[in-house]
Amino acid sequence: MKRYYFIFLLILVFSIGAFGQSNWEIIEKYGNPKDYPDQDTIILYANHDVTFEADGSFVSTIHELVKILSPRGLKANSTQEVSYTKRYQDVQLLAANVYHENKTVESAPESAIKDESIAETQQMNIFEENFRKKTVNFANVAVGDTVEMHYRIKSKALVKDNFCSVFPLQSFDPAKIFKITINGPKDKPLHFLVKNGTAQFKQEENNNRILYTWDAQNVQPLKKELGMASPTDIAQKLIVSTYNNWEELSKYGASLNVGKIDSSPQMIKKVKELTKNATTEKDKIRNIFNFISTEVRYMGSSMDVGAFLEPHPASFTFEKKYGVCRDKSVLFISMLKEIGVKADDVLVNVTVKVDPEIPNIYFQHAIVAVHLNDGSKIYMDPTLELSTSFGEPYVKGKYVLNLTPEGNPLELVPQGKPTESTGRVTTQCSLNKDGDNPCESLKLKAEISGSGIYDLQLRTLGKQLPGFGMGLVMQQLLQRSDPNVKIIKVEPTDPIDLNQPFKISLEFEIPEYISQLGDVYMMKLPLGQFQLDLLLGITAYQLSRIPERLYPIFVFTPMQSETETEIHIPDEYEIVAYPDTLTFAESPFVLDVKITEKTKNTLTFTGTFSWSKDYISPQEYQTLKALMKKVDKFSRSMIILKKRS
Amino acid sequence: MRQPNKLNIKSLIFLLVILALFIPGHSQEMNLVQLLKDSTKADQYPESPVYHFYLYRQIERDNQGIIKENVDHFFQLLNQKGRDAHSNYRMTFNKESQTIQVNTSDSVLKEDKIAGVEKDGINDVTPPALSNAGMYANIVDRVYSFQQVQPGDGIHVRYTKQDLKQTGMPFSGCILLHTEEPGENLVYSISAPKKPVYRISGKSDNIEVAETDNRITVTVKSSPFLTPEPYTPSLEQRSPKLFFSETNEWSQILTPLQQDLETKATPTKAIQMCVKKVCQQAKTNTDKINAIYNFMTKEIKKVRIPVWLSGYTAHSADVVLNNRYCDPKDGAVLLLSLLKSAKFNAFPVLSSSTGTINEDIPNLDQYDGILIAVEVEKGKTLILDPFTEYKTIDFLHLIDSRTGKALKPGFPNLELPKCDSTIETTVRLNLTDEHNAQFHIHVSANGYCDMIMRQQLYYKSKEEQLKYFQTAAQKLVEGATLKNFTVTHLDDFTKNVEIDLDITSDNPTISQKHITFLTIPAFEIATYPYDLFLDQRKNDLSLPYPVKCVTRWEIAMEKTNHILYFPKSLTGKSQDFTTRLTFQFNEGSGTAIFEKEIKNLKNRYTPEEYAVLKSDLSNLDHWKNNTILWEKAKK
Repeated sequence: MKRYYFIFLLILVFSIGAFGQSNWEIIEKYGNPKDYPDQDTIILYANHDVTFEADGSFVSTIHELVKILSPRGLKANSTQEVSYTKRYQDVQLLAANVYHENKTVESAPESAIKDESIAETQQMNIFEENFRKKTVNFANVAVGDTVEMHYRIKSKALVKDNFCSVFPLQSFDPAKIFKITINGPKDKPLHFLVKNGTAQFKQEENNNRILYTWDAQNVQPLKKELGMASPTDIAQKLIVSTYNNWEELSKYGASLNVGKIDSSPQMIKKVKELTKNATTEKDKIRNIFNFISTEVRYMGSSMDVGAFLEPHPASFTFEKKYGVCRDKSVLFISMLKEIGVKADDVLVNVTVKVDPEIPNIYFQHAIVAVHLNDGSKIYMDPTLELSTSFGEPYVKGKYVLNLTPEGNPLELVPQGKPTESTGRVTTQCSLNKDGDNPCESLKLKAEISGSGIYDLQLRTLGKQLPGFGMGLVMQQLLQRSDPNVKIIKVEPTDPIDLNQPFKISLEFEIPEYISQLGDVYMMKLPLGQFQLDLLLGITAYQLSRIPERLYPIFVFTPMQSETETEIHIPDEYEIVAYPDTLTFAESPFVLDVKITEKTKNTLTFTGTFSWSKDYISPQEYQTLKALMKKVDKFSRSMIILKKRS
Repeated sequence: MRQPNKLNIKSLIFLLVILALFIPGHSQEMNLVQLLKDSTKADQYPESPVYHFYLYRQIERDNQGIIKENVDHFFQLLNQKGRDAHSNYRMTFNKESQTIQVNTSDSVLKEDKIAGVEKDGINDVTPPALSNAGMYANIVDRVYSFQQVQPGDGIHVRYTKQDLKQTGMPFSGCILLHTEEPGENLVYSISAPKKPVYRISGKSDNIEVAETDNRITVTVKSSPFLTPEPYTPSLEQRSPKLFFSETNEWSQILTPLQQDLETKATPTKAIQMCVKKVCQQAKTNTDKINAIYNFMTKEIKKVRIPVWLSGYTAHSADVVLNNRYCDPKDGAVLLLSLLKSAKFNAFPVLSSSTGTINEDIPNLDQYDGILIAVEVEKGKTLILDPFTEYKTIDFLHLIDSRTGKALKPGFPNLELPKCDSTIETTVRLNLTDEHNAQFHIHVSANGYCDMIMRQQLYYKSKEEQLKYFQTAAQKLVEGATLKNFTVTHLDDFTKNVEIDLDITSDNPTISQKHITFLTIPAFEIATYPYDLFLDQRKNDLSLPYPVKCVTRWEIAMEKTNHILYFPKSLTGKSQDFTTRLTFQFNEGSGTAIFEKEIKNLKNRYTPEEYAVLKSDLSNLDHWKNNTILWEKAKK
């Protein structure tokens, strides 16, 4: 999902936006570290000043004073960076100073200011020297000092004839003063909203211009939590836009696609080739989708960076066989058009929520709405190389914006069901005599498979960990409870072949599995910790390690897992006891674990676990904790055997 | 005088073939498509991302001392992973002192087509390791993005990298003869007006050498594929190497470096002021060294670029101090300067993390670290690592060869000291009331283990440390409550870290029928630091440092319990890896004591040795060995 963040990064770069008191006065007044014993830095002052014009161009002036309180704060702030895009923007550094505790001020010399390409995009297969940052390295900065950055970004219009942006008013550092001023033409009034908090607002009109000012003071810091929802969803923020409604934005997005949904003889030939053996509409769509998702690779080169990233023509993407999400979506729409299937370009956020109140360009990803002949509509994501879903489950419960010439409103897709993304672990195991060793070993054969997002996760694992890697992962998962487990075989099917179900077949052995205690024998419940279950044994286990949470956990989409283990005990043993049934049903979680005696020497252990939401609230987290405590106790319980007389 | 080499016919033909490959304009494109069509490498190496069909590297120094390198490289992308990871071809160079000219950049497609790279696909980008390290902004990656390649296709690149001016250093180097991925026809050619002396380490029948008056050509017929496994020796550690040098005299190689480091480390006013500030509380020599070391560790960021890449010319101590970050040589300059400013007698020492040193071929590339030796008092020398993060003052990490080369008159070899690396954990568990168990845990560590703990904790705030230990407590027993924690000496790199935790739990044991049992878990932050989970290995095991891990549980139980089962004491069989488990139960006092020790005595183990130690480890960790079962007294 890393590639989605890039678009967000660009938008933030573009959205970045003086005062009566002197810097020293602010440092004196607000910079008392005793107020924040556990923080790395305090934002003493952050002022974003934006002036936008009717054509959408704008100038942002940013002025920040950050006081450093800890070694980690020092590490994070001794180098400051300003990201920008060379094609669209110019950066001018107005001041870069360190205010020392001993009341001296030191300016960063010219030699400390560098301009370099952004290395982080390289991980997303985007090599563009136009994506750049200016870095300022502060000499002699120490804990207790205050760093000042003051710079101006001049930007061409990102959205023609409009302006919209999101300004964070809260971060992981406490802030004394957050100030945002926006100056815009009167005939382009701003719609705005302060979300997740409050800020003082005032508005002044002068010479056909309007000056909007927001002030937020003493803003408390966010806290980091494993698996937490995006800080963008939680933080106090200001959303602004000159768009009157989502329909206008939808129309604008569609206007960027004009002339891009084209065709070529090679494309037509390819569509015919892909669909010639397909008899149903679904198969035809599926074959085209599989072609684009697997053979047109995700790669950023010669990217345009206006709002929504203006796509390349479909014929260009088809010929070059690479593109970003906007390119791949447009190609998919064009190829579907060849078989008479109508489709729309759609914007969606994958890891953050859309704020429906104010129309904004802040979208992470482009996908496609496919209109089927039966009148239904599904959302498909041709950027995902390994998706086998006919309609992406992750889009459900999220806001989407269809880009249409007539303009669409923002639409909330109904929430999906856990069963749409189900994982399944089936295991056969038996106790076997282990040579002369009096203790039997346990031999297991397991198969892991899934549907929907669960299948996508398994395939991603399969692709990232070919062959030997999968064995290593399985060994690690199983060793959590059985250190001397021996993996005999791990056979994943081809994760890239979207026409075949993906499954991981696994054979392993655990020597000396039972212990004799007088006339009683004990053994742990095989896979009783749900070690091979991505949902319960791995995700829920990892996320439930802390006592309480302040923020929701983002779990992507409703999901379910099913475990079925059949345990064969040799005839010479009698089953005396086995762990009790475990049931738990408290929204959004359901857990149902049963052990039954299938025959006198066969136990069947079945478990079903699900969550029915994409976000788990802090209150619901306590429910998860209670569930995990029961699971822990259950997994430490034993099967007790006796030898038949 | 050396006699001219006699060439036999076979090596002459071979040489002519090799030379022909370097004639400008020589092209193999016509054969490349066919090579791909005939290739069965994807089936042969399903786990490798690429296969190198050939790699020719020709490095030559001309009469003016200018070094030029010609590279001709053709490889096949065997699968999607190969396409994703290798279709952006990086050529790293120093834009201030080198030029790079790419002559060929072809995507060789299976369908009989050769495509070039488009203009937008050529970018000079900052190497990820150098992000935010503007002092090294002269080093860039020229990246050619081969947009159209798919699995099965090939990439053909030919380029020339040339110095703009002579370096002033004798021509010398160390070339790894194998590639990370499998390959064949790897040809390395070195030439200079006067033929360099050379030596090949790890030479086998797979490697052929041809010589002329001024050229050495080494041909490696094939480079093996190694199944990647955790703790596999790095390519630098395992590959055969070609060492070459224009000179037989170490002094010719080392003198320019020594002079450069000494000059750049000359204390300036800024350095003197820094030392004054850093050492203002220090009373003794040891205090001063400790203060300077703490400053280097805490306030100077480390940029992980190899010395050979950033060059052997250091920045001055002032520049490093101003920028607050360093590569290994710049870190050495700053520490040397600070120590000199504090009136200590100090000098640099070269060290290697990748193998023993070839003394016959004077060559800087054999070393990859620069330490600083400082005389604390007459006759007592301490060796410090300036390129250090999270390490205590006595710990020298990543030192494969224990012999350093002192950069002082005569350039003597110096024995580098070892220090202990131990982690000791004591868990005191009061289990007299099974519904209200109390744990007190004490952890102390030194050397490598101390470094691992600091890495985990150093940049965590108090609140984050609380969460970290809460998580550890949860792994001890689900639902456990962390009552209190303290971390000592975390901010002082001259002392070892210690941790104390108080934890309570209402369900540490399980009762079924008449039996109650306690499974003794591994305590998360204090286990043996290497995760040796592989059942068997195909490659050698290479551990960063020998460590010892001792965990002791002291459990106070109800005196009337009748113990049914407890772990048996055992000692492992491996000679170079000790495992020991002892268990005692004193029925009279109701006290159970359980102690586990794991220790690796060396860094490198063969797969056969690994099989023995893995068996020892499995025995030690087997769940039932860590379980105590008892029967409650009938009331």
